[in-house]
Amino acid sequence: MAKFGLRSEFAYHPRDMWTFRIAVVIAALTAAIPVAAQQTTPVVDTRAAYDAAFEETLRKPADPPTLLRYAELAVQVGDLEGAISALERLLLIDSDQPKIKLELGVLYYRLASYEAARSYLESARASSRASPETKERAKQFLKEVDSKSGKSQFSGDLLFGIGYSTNANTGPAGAIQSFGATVVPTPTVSGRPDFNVIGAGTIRHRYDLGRQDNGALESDLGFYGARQFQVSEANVYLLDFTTGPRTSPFEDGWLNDMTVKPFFTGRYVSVNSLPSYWAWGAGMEAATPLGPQINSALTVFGRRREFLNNPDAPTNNQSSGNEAVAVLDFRVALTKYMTLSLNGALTRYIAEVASESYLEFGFGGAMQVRFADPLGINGRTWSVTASASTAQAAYDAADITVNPFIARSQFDINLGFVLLVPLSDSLTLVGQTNYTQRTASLTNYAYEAFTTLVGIGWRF
Amino acid sequence: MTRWGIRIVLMAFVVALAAESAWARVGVTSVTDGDPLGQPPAEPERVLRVGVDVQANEKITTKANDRAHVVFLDGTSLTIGPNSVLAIDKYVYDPNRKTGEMALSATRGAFRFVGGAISKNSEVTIKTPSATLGIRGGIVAFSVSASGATHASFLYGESMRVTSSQGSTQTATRNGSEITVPVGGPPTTPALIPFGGTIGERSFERSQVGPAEAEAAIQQQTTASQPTSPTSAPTPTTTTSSPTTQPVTTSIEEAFDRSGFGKSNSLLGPQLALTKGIRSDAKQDKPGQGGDKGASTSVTRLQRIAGRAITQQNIVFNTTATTKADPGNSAFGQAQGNSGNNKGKGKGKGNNN
Repeated sequence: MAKFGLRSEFAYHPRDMWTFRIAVVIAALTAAIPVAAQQTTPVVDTRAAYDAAFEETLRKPADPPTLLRYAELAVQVGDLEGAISALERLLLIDSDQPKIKLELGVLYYRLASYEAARSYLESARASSRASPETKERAKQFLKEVDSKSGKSQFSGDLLFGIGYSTNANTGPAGAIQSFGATVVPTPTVSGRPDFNVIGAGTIRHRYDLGRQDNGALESDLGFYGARQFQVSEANVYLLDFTTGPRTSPFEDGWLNDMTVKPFFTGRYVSVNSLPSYWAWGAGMEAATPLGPQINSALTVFGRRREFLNNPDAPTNNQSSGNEAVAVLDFRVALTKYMTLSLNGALTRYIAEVASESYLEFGFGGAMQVRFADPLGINGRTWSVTASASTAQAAYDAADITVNPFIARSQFDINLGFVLLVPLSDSLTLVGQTNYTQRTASLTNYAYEAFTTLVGIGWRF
Repeated sequence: MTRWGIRIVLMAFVVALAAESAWARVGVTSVTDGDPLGQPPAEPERVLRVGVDVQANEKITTKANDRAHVVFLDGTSLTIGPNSVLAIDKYVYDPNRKTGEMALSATRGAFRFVGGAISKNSEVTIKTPSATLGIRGGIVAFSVSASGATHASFLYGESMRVTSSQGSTQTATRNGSEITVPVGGPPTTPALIPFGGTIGERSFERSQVGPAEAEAAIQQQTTASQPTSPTSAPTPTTTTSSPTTQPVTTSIEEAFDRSGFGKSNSLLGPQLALTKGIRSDAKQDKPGQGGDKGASTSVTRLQRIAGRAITQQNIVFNTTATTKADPGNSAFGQAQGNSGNNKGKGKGKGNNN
């Protein structure tokens, strides 16, 4: 197996590059922190106001304005049970309050207590004192309650957009090698810029197994299609499917919140309208909270990739092989407005030929910051996500058709930035930009690309 | 006074303080209907009116037309329906650490428990003639029949453990589950409340409100705003009411419209309501339990897969094309010719040249 650490042979290896990369990664991850910091001070004030409002409810326990003030602050600090307690108190004073029942139904809906939500929402809708607006809103939430509490539930998201890449076919920028000799790059082999249209989405199905641990058979079908304006070899279509039952096997102890999901996964990819590969395999995901604000997930799986020869890639089948993958994810809610995600992945791929076998290690992080609509368009919460990731791969043996003496090894860096602007409950304007740079021991594999995408996302 | 004398006086003072704290206020009566009665441990029984303090070890009794709502110092609230008997066996709360202990006994009746700070950190126990409920961080509606059988609906929270008097235990962890314990029998397996099944809030609701009740509420509130001590609590007498021109129904609606509460709740709409203001609780974000990484994450993952596929295929293509153009690299331009002759490939590359 080839070893890591061939940096001195990398095609792009200015010594200052490492300093630059680290600086960029740190800058990308911390760029949003000042924005979020501005949002944290009011949280502290809200908490103090919430505590004071609770004390006030002890002094004026049946005063509607006092209870509603407390309920409002309770919602703001995330104490939905406190808000429920205050509003249910108002129903004890007068049960025929459709607006209060509507709000209670929504609070239970937000807590995923759907039968309680349904009871209040139906009561609100049936009240003779309910205004048409209240009835309509209750109906709207009842529809959601029905969709979320059924045994079989579909959800998903779709994205349509237009993109541009400075290197659509991820071709090399510099000279390439053949049998160890440096050859002149040509436009056909080199990277080329292009626009494309993209359609992507994921459809999720959840079949409730009726268990106390919320066990369900979860199935995800993802699809992605990108059609280039000119560089047809970068046209790509793929289907990705995963299914498996998620359960919580531990009832007690420190692992009682852990969920596990054994799964089967399959994938089909075509490039330039030619079959590229099939993949199928199975694995296991274990996810558990590590604290009030931290989620973690470990996924391991084995997969067979069957590459298919085609006119573009007549020796594609040499890349066929088996892979073992382990991925570790952490998701940390730093504040109400900031979420940090970290992940690491290790892949061992054993192909039909040693020159296509590799060991890859990667890690990355993303910081999402949510903030109030700065333009006052519709008052919804926007978000920006800055991400950075790296991956390093070392191949087992040299490919004699490229260079008989130097095995391929490569180092990837990827920087990303995503802006999400919600237009309605289900529509979101998406702006995305990415920079990818691959340095490699052989110039054939090195490239860099700057891509952008603007699109509309629809969630259902 | 000698040194020993001072010590004895101080100790007596401390003991007296401790005894008083045992009967200290643990909550306040927040809403009442009818004449619910409270029996503190060392005081005569009294009618619980809005604002009357509730003490540790107090026994609360309601008759057919009575209801009461009590808020505890940690934020826990308890609704007591008609024909109910309940005792506060233990209540300890440290407001600085937001921790404590709470134990209740329900002999009969219908109740709704909404957990506060204590239940978020430790289990609150409720003993009935047939079972013991252990509630963590949640909302539970439960009833005890005249025979002593217990029926509990777990509406929200971490868990509701139900142990029968014989020691058999069942635990509900899923919102909207119910467990029944017959007298002398084991608890049933937790079952989901059937679609459209009532949660039972109507037994706690007051059907009509008139001027008398409104006035009573206002009057009691005024009383509550005055400093009260356990010894100054009213004795069991019926409250005299006077007419009022401001029914509570109107004031609730007006207060609601003025509050703007809906803006942070129902007006958000079904999708936004799920993401805004929800506690950043890792459990709620657990995969399969409400967590959703969002569309952009899904698309990013698919984009990465697609990108790798493009790179892989084009590397093989480039290598093939270059190899065919070799050996000797004398005519690398043939690579273009070869690629141009490749089926399907020539279209893109040829056109670009």
